[in-house]
Amino acid sequence: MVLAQDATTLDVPDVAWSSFAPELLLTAAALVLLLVAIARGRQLLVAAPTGVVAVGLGVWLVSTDVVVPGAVAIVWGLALPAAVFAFPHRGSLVQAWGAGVALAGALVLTGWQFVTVLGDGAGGMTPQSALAGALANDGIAFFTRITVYLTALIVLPLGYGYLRDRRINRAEVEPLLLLAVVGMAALGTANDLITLFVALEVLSLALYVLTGLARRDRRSQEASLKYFVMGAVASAILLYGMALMYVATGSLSLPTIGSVVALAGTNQLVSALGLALVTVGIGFKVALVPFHLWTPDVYQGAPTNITAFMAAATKAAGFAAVLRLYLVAFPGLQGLWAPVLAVLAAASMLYGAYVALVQRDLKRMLAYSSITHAGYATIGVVAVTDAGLSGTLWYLLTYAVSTLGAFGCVIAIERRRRGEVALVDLRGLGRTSPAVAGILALCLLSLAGMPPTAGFVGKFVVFQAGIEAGWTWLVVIGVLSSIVAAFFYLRIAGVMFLETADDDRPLPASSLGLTTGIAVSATLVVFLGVQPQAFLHLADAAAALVR
Amino acid sequence: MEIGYYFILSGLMFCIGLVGVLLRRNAIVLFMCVELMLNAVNLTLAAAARMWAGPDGQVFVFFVIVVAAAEVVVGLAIIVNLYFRRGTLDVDVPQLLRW
Amino acid sequence: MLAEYLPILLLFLVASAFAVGSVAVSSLVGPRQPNPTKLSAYESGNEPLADVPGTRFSVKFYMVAMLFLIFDIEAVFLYPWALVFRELGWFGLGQMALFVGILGVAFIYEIGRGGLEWD
Repeated sequence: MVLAQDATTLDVPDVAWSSFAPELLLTAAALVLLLVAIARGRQLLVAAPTGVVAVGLGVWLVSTDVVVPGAVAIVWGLALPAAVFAFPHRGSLVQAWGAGVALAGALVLTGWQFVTVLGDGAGGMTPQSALAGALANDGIAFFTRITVYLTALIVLPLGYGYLRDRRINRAEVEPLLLLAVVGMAALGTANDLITLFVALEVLSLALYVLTGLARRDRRSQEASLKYFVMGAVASAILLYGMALMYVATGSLSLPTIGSVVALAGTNQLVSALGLALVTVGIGFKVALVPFHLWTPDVYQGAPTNITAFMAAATKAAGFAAVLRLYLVAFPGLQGLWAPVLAVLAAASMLYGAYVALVQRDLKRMLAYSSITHAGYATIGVVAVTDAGLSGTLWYLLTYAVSTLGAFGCVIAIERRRRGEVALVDLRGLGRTSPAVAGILALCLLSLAGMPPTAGFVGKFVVFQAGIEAGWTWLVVIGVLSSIVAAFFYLRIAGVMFLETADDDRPLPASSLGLTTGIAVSATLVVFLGVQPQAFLHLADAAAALVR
Repeated sequence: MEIGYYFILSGLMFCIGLVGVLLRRNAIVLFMCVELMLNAVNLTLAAAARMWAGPDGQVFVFFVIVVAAAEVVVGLAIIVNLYFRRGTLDVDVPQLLRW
Repeated sequence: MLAEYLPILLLFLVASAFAVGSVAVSSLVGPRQPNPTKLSAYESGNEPLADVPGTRFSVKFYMVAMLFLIFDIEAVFLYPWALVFRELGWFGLGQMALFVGILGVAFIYEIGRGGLEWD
């Protein structure tokens, strides 16, 4: 009798909940907000029990000496009912506050992870592997979390008024945004192929829906369909590449793949084929040049706050996966992929910069700029050094804050224009609303890499790593493309400050959330440009990986 | 080594799916081609799990199946909404955004 | 080892060539003589009264199929768990409760949005 047998206990895996505490909080928040979304007039029915459970959990955590997560749980548990009380008839504000507090809590938890586990007290990092090797809490994970959570936290206030103006402030926006954030953070943490793939799909699926948020706007729908078709094909190609890596190495864990690939007995043809397919698939996701076709259309068609989120956060998460795949799983094949990635980077930098020159639509122009920046970030990857790794992580953070500021200004202008923002719409903006024009110019300068801004430090670090690793020609191309881009950004500044405004152009809209979001990103652009030492030090420490 | 046949079959399936994605313009057919590609991956993983005598590949297959289902649902939602808006399933027809 | 996988590469090429080739040949060689009869309804089918774009088709069936698909496929994780249910003990039960709980939230959301209302 099988049933009568003594049940032999399997090795129960040890779940280190703390290793993914920020994602846990955000997932729970997303689920609760989904329930709040359908509660309509009876939001307290959802919020009150959630609050009780969260506070109870928090008290229990504090009593077991896990103080910070406990405190975060208590704060979030109190914030949600408080938001319901404070905004009785404005469901979207409840959603926004619930999501915002959760994101802030996730940032706090990330800091807590750094202090208790990662940091070694001397400013360095001790990488940790968790969940039987499925997760790696190291520099890449830490930086991706910071970038993604910060981006989402800025995008929430940026988009709130915009979505309301366009009447697409559906209650599902915040849960989907949180789920996308969870996917991105998990992508930065994933240390085996299954986790990597699931995380990538979680973020992609949420973004497909968010892109098509404006259900009555055909541009948004078209963007959504294009993004979906291209993304699904890219996922399938990436997946086949992963499967071939498994065929060649017999392992799904990235570090094990890394050590097996380097062995002489491993089938080089299959692993090379797998590598090629993975490169194509991931190239789609981060929009490197031959695989960038979806980017301009999707960026232009999606609601602008979603575009800002995609540009800043998806890029960071995608490059986290790139860094981990190439530096942990494929270092043995470096001779194969480094030249290919270098060529892709060069093509992205040149093509993006030149095509951006002829764009009339501001969102489309920023899309091409994002392609260029994918190229710059790749320089740090092909360097295959610690300096390159920390350079790329740092670059992604600076790019995120600059592009958020720029898109924030686009939102401000677009809210009154009721439609696309063309370059001619910027004429005379420097006279009519100097603040928006000034911040837009600042962010564009940062994107171009001009000195007192964050973008300059980012480019400097990446170029330095590239030269040290011997990729002089690539860095020369990078500098050339920066010059082209700078010329173009300066022309925009000229349009804003030197030309006179048409009389009938309405002024950019401003609201508390929008102003806050733009101000925070502009401050970060300047702060990271002037005082980069602390963060650069962190980035240097982040070069310790779970291998 | 007969396991090679499975890899060959899955390679063929993947190529057919890929070519279909590149050539066909009907959104639903595009969709089926993507599914074909994903199932080619599943076949590869299952065969490789057999070859390496470990469970990893089979576990991966489970996740791929589930993710593929979620992808289908999201994609169908997008397509149905688009069909109601403009009455065609041809992904090339109206171009407000330059492709 | 290398030589064993060469056929795969060859078949990749053959498969691509075949797929491209057959589509190309059919579009080049195939006769294209559309006439009204070919386009009309098959045999004794009725002519559709209105052929306007955006004709509503019932979305109910599609909704139900979609929901079925999601919940059906998620159940795939229950089978491996059921196999080692005893061995995993309370740990497995807790994890599965978490998983089913998340599905439950999705289910409640779906009911709340009227996804299961037939009329």
